[in-house]
Amino acid sequence: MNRTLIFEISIIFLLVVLGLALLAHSLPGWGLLAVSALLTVSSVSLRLINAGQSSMQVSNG
Amino acid sequence: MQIDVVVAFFLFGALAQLLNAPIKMPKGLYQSLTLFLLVAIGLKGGIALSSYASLALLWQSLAIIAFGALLPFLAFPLLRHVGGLSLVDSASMAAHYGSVSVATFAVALALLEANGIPYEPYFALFVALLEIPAIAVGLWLARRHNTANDRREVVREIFLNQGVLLLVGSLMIGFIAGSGADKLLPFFGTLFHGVLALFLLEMGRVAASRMNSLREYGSFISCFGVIMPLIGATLGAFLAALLGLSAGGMILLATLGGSASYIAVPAAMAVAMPAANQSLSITASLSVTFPFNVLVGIPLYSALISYIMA
Repeated sequence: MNRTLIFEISIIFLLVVLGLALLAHSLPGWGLLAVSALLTVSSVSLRLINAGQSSMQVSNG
Repeated sequence: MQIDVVVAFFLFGALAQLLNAPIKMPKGLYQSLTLFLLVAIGLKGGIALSSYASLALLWQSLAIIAFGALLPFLAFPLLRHVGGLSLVDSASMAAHYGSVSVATFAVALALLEANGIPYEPYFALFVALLEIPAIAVGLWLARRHNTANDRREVVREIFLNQGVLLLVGSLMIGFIAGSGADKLLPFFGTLFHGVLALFLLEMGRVAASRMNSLREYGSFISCFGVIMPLIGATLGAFLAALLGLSAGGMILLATLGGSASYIAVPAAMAVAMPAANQSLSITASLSVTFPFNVLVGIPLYSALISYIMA
């Protein structure tokens, strides 16, 4: 697993934990949870797009 | 969940852009709004500074400069060793994240004033002080790759770019004039929130229009653009507590620590480090960090600090 992926997973996990901790104290943690969801979607979708593009290049090459 | 009315204009601008119906503002008007905000913040800060200038403020200012120099050193290893960016891009982006965004500061000011939270009124001085050290550190980090031919032009761009010049100039005028500058406040004070709303309308459009560039740079940049403000804001809040600032001051310093420059630093870096990818840094600061701070960060810093102080 590369460093970038570990970093992204750690950040998303941290945001979820912080968001839930804030909500538990009746503080606005919804924002961090929403951001973690957006980052998850962007991380997964960008990796899928990149994987699709590289497999197309291999088949064309 | 309640969104501040000024911030609602940012969302409006972004939504219109995403619906492919952008509300375009004449370029001259956008520049005029920026100019207004810089002068208003500087002038009000300068007037306040004329009654608060003291030795304690000098120590606070030195601590603030050190804080501004520290942030790029935290951002750089993440960008270089985790993100795998080139040395020049890492240094340039670290400088962006060590410096501050006046627009983000203006949103935090508007929130404090709307909620009646008192703050140190000379904070504009800290904004001006935080603009420059990160640029110097960024240049030092990439010292082997600085390809700028004219060093005088680099220094000129760092200290005399329009943002820094307007802020410092208005601060000095306010400081020298003191209460004599009060007659300008009906214009620069009363209209502040309305002008900020219009400015954010345009910022929403610009931020949303750059979203596609994020696809090009990968999700690391988005994660970095979210975590770096949280690191900077946490350190800023701790520093404010150490300096004995009020709850409002803590919120403002957290906001400044969490913000990233997209006006002053890009201008300086374009001259000093032409090899750096300016678009990468601007996209991160404008399309990730600025919206994050405006929509999530500032309300969070405000609620958390008020909760801890209560």
